Amino acid sequence: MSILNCREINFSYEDKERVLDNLSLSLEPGSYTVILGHNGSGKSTLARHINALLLPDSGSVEVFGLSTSSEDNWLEIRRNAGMVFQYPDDQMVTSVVRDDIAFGPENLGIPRDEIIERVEAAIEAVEMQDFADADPSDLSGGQKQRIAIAGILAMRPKLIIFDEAGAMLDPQGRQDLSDRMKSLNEQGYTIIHITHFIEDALEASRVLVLDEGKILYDGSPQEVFEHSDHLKELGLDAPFSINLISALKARGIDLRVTLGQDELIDQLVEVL
Amino acid sequence: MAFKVTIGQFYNTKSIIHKLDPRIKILVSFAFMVLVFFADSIVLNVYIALALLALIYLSKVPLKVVLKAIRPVFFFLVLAGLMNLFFVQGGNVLANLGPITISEAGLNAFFIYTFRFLFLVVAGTLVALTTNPIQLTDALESMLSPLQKLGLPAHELSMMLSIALRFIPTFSKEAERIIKAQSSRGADFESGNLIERVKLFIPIIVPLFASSMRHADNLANAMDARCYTGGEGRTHYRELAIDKRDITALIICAIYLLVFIALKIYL
Amino acid sequence: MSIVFDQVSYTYGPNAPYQALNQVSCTIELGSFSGIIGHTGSGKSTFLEHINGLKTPSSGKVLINGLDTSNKEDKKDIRKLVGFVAQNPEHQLFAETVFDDIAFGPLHTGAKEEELTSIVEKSLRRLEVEPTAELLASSPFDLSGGQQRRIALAGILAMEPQILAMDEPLAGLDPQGRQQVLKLCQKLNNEGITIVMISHSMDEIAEVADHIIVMNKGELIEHGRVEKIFSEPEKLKRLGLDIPEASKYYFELKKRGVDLGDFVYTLDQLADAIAAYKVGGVDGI
Repeated sequence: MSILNCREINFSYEDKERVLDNLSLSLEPGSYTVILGHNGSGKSTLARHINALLLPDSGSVEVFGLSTSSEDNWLEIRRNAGMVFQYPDDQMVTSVVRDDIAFGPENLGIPRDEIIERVEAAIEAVEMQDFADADPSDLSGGQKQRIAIAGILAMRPKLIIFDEAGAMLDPQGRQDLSDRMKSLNEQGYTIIHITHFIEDALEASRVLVLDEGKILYDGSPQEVFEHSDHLKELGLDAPFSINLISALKARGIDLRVTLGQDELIDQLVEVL
Repeated sequence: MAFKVTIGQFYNTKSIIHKLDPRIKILVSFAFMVLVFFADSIVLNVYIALALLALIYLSKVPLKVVLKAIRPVFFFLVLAGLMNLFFVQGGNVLANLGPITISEAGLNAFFIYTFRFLFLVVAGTLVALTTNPIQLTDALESMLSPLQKLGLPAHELSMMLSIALRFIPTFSKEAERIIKAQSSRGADFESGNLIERVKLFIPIIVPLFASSMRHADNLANAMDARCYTGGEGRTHYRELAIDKRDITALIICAIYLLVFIALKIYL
Repeated sequence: MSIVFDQVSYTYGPNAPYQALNQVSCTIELGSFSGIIGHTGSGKSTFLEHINGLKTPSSGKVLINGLDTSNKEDKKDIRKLVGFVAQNPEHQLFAETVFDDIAFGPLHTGAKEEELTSIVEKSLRRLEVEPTAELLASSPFDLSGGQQRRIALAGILAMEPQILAMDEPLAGLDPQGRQQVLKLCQKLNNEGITIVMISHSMDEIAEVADHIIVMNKGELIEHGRVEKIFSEPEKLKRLGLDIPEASKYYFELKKRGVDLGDFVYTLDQLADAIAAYKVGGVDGI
């Protein structure tokens, strides 16, 4: 059974052109999906449909079997589908880390004893014990995103959507975030990562490429990057290995398409 | 830094004062502020000052930090004092400096009013320094909740206060960045006449406004995504509870008040 | 004619736990393109803010073409000489029209009213934006993020700086936007503008810079040509910094017995070296 079912959704902001164009998508529980697209491709708009922050103009979105069209379902949907956003600063509601993590459970009306338990567990899960009483504005961007994740974990969701959550971080912060997504996925969380960093896609089990509100490609990273020439035309980058392979092709050296550095080095050693 | 903001600046340490229930702290500080207005003799003022010094000592907040926190109002303090010194007349004339006459009553007023104002500011500052913003808003919500029945949105008000306090550092950083960017483009914030300076506000205020709209929009989304629907049905992570320590504090305050009254009557 | 840091230290107040800059000395030649790398908190932003006098040294001296940034009389000239591109420069847009926003800098540094139109148009053209009447009259807030960034850059170019100090000018852009802005930086450098740029991406630095300054905990660890800095990955690794992808391939191939000869750090260099190796080995071996 799939946990997310988007059926032919259309969406536009006010009277402007369509941002999502007849898009259909379903997701398996426990999957790790990366959604790629350049700015304005509709990827963040899609993310906001998944936890009922936006509703489609037509078509339907079902999350965990609940339709987003009914307002009564929103809380249950949002509790199950947590979301981490792009700007670390703008997700912190209060000025103490612990209290910020408690914000979600408080809203859900969880009894106090259980909130305390959940807050401590969430802090431990993101390894921020040393900063539990800190003021979030004293933390780095990467640390703030860890607090944001903890705030979501404390709601005990099944699905976590990362909406360009690494865009404002330095490479180390991004690497840390990506490692965390992998480990959350291994613990059983379903992960959706919306990004324009190609490296992020290599970790996923499934990659979707969005352009003009449509799904252009859908498959394993290997399958999707077969089309790297087209991806470049769309304003997306390709992994370095793919770029090197096409640069070598132009110089008369033909290699098989591989994503990782090690496999490509193996090939090169063989050929040279 | 031109935009350094000290409102709601919490000094994070562990002390008896920090541990007190924030509602007690707010109540006592209000009562204290009223008391200050009845302190009209030197003895009573010394008595008030001693209490504040004792509280600062107990709070483990370094005196330097307290002084830094009240620095923004220092100018007004001095100004109000001087006004009293020069304009209040009565009793023996102490000095004649051209058109200015300083009288005994003036000098008396200078001390009383300057210190009265200083005491008020220090008492308020102490509450802010020893209470983290969350506790402050929780206390406010709890103290206002009886008025909720009359239609006052206690939860919403305290949530707004909490968010405002939370975003002060963000906006002060942002303002600093914008000032840097605009002064790199030749805007001179240090010299120029009044009109020129007022004009230079626009390149700061407009981007700051635009950024606060961005923050507000993002924050609203993040709060929605974390199931915020207002105060109804919400539970609380922090529980405000009056314990033995708070009762002891109240008793000490009551004794202090009685001594104050005795001093006022018999001295 | 150069940017000179002479024993520059900078401290945030007497009680600051550490020095933001500690005895930094270096000379950046005019016309060069320098990348500054280092962790968050390494002092690279503080370094950059010293170049146009936003910060002045607690001790030591910063000289821009001989002008001392600590000298108040020189400040105006230094601000004209050095354009400062803050992170997310589009967040400083404020005027009602694109024209007014770009004209803000020149107006405050003594340009005449009648020159403004040509200054504004010229700076947009330098960024490959066509200065149509419609664009100039539109509100900068109605434009897309990428366009806003160009307008903000035009506002800085309008002051005709000889030096650009840029704090992560590519942050927050998508790959296409990054490539475009990177190309523009390179073009401006080719036109003779000295660029000092903070970036987290070694691949981007490798593509455009000729020199690198490595910062760590307020100290300048190294300053040298790109090929020298990137050819010593252990040193960088110790500071938690990376090398460009192409250089990783170079070293990995070397380990596996394929010596490509001269060190490489960009994709094209790597591809060329591999092709040359395949044809006939390196240097006739």
